[in-house]
Amino acid sequence: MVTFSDEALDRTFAALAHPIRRAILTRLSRGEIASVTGLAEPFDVSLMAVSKHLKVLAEAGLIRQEKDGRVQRCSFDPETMDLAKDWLEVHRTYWNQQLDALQAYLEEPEDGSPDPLRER
Amino acid sequence: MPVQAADSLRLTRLIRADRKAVWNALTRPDQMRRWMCPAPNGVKSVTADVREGGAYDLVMVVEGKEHNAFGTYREIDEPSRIVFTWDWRPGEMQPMGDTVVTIELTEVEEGTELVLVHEGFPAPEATTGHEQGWDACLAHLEGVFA
Repeated sequence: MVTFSDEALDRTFAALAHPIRRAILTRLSRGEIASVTGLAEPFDVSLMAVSKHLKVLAEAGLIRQEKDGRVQRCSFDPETMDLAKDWLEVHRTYWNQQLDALQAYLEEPEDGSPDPLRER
Repeated sequence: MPVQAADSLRLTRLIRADRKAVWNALTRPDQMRRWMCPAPNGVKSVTADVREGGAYDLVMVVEGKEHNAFGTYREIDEPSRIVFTWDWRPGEMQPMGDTVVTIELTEVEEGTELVLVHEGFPAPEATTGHEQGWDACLAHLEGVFA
């Protein structure tokens, strides 16, 4: 069973909590090795902003950055994502959300309580 | 009550509703449709033949991607216990084989205590390739932040 610190989890989830970072990670996880410029290309943000995103991802251990001459090459680091690949944790998150939704459904009725006899 | 092993997860909730209401929310498709997805109004379809040996199929839409869970009911002990298999159809999530979910409902003073145990997960090594596993998890995690 994979175990990991709360801090590592926090860093990983914080790193993933941004659509640009997730998009970058998806691309790199397909095996691509890319430069910062290459990664920045699809996004309508500055190179500086993308660099910052890459730094967050690197600090969370999700990508590796290596200097290749004058170019910074980024690649996916699969080890940290073993954490999220762990079936248990994926489903724990899933069920926590589901139970939150169930609780909200039952405890906070919107337009009337969940009366099974009620017409939709 | 299934014994919790290292390959299972267990969650407990206290729900401020009576047990029958909780049971109905868990077992009536017209109600299941209204809450069974991380994204609001994200259940695309749910069919459930809630009897021992009956099948269910649940399609959720998370950030435009479909997640399709399915399985069969193994034990139905209204209104206190329900046991069903759980697997994902190939797609955004990876099939796992038959994992087993057990939900037990107990009446308590404040409402209903719900205990959910999910067990029988494949070992991480069974995942076929980092890229596929990652894509599936990413899609799921996107749902967490939706």
